[in-house]
Amino acid sequence: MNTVNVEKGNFTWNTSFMISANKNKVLSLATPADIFGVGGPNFTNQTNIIRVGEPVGSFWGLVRLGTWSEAERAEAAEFVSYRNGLTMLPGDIKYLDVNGDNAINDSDRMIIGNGNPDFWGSFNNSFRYKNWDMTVELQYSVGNDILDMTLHPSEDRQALANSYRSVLTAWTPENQNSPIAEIRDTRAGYVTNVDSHWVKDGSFLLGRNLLFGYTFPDEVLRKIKLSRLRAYGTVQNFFLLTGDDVNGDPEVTPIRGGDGSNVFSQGMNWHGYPKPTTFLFGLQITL
Amino acid sequence: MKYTIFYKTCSLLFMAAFMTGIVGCSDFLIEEDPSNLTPESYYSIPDHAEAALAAVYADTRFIGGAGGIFSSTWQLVEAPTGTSTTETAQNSDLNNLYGLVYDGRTQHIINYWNGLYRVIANANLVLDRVPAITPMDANQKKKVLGEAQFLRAWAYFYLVRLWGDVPLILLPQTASSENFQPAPASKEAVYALIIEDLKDAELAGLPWMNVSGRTSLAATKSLLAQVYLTMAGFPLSKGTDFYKLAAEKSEEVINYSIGNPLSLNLFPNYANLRDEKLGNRVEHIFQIQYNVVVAGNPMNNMFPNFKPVTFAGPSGTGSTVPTTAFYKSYEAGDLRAVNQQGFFYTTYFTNGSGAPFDLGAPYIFKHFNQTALGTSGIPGTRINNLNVPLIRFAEVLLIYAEAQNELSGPNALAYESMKKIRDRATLTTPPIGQFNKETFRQAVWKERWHELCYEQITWFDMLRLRKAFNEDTKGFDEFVGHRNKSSDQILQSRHLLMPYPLPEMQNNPNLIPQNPGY
Repeated sequence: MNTVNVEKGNFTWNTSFMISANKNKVLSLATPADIFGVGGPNFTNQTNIIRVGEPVGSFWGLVRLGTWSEAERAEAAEFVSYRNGLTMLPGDIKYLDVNGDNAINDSDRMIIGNGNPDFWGSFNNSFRYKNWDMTVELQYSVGNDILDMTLHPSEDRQALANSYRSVLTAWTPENQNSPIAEIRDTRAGYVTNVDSHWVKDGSFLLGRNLLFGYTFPDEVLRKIKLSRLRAYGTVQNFFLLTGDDVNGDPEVTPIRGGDGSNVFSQGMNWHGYPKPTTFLFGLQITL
Repeated sequence: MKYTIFYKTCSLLFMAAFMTGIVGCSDFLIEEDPSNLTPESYYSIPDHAEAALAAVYADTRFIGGAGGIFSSTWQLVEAPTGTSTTETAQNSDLNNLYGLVYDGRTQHIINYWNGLYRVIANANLVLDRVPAITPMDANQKKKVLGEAQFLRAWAYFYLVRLWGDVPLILLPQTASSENFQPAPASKEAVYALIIEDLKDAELAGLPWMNVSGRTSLAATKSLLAQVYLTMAGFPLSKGTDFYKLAAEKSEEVINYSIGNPLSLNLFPNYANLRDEKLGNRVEHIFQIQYNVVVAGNPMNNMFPNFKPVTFAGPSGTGSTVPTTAFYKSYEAGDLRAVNQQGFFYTTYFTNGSGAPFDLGAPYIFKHFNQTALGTSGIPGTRINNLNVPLIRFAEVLLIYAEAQNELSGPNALAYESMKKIRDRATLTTPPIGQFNKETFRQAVWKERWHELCYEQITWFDMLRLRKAFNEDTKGFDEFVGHRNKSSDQILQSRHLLMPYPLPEMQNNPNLIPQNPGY
């Protein structure tokens, strides 16, 4: 949608607004089995699934309920443990046991998000006042989930790797209401799973481009014998608004993402490099 | 001039169009595409037969494939034994194997199944296409086919032990094959094929030993002895007749060793077992071949968790480490449990070759290639070409001892076979007269656990005996009800079989019913 909002004398204001909403659903597969391993890095577990009846780009994982509290010690101990005779303990991550068998395994995994936005588009405005011009290009996306796999090394491996600041709020006896496991020795058996804690609302508003221009008036041009002279400056990616819990760029696609940026890996953040903010200054000269 | 060129070009184009118009629908357009290899066109000279067979051998390396983060496919048959545990919980599928709560989605189960059927698929191609290659030396052809049959039997033997009834695919498959979605065949039918294949391989003119790493007569007879011993036990429970067959077949191998002790024998010490230069020799009857040019040794998950035992510094995963209980279950003085002498190490050299340091726990030394990883004062070559052992002469001796004892109690050769294993471990063995059938049986089982640990053999012993070694009593528990020390979980009857991989069941509606309990 393009509009001319104001056009009088030496002031004009144009707006263009674009909105898209794509829906997709897998109707059939050559072999009916769910397809894993296409698009995502599939590193700690399978990260995404292509399943008949579901949209592509669906994230696959467990549901993290939080951590086990001291009050739940006995309940936690009933769960099957993997570690050397030690039971599940307060401070361990608590997952949703879908089938109630007191074991957290692949049967408890489900679709926990989707990288496709509900709708997305752009909102561009351009202004002209006398010799000055300005363009503001905004880009938005609503309802796209992010699977932030960087939380694997940065929250689930506290004694092994550098962590995000969020581990400062990890489980302690004094702070039992935390989604992050207690900080323990490397060999204590940290679990890590693709889970709902890694899924964030990736809706964003991005300042894609901001441009200021000044076209020099004719009298100046005559003196310096040019037919046109314009000076401008732009800032690309000049701001990004996301939820507080989103790390980095909500538009990145993962390394080891198979074909890289594609519909199957949309929204999967796996140490992607964010977009740079670029400053450009220029002169347009017509002799 | 310009006009002439234009005129000539036009007439040439016209002629070309006219000619192709005339001949366009004839055989002229059926092209030979020699660079596009298809199963239909490929197998035409003896070299193709050898190349096709090499592909089957290459496929046996699936066991070293990744099973997700910090894990390998071979851990499927190591983790449930309870003799090893993990120092990391980063791989949830591996956790589920240790915790005995695996299911049809567990990645290792899917990978193991796919890996075995890939071996079978490529073996089937060899067996289907190679007979038609002419001219080809008859002896060479017989050997190639025999080796393919050996490998097919090897793969089916894993399948039938892990899953029970499984699809029996004997011909190359395409999407248009009549039997593209096969139902499971009975265990008996699978075993019948295994025996038929191995008997054919026995007659294929293979050399007794083969240092190239290809299979041999000794490997074929040893595998056949394993198969007979397994059939004598659970689940087929064929008993005496098959103990007899197992004893006879293993005795053939032992007799060859007696006549040719330099070619086939026990190594004098355990360091030889993990010496990459002694691959496919003496004690190593059959191995999976590794060379970094193609693939390096896949046993790195046995390194301690982030302790600097190799040139790579603090980098191991520790996802397969011994349980302390199993380590302590060795008799006092057993060389196999002595630091760096046998199968374990409790100290090592910083970064492989520096100052010694205490590891704080026992780790598996059996697959530790000191040439590649480093040893006291000598940095490693960083090139880990150590093979993975599948059949060792030590196991053949123990097969004979076990099978013969079941027939008649311990005879001299059975006793001597077990004693050789214990002698190398510097253990004294009571005289034969002090054993009866029952005590000898348990003594042999115990040697199997202690000699063959961490070689992906123990799980299959547990399945065929329906017993598990109790590290505290040093005796044997019933399989069902045994508590694994690795995870404090109890083995149940469903663990006698693996679940069919769920993707296979979704793709093949005839792969039913799922094994009980899953």
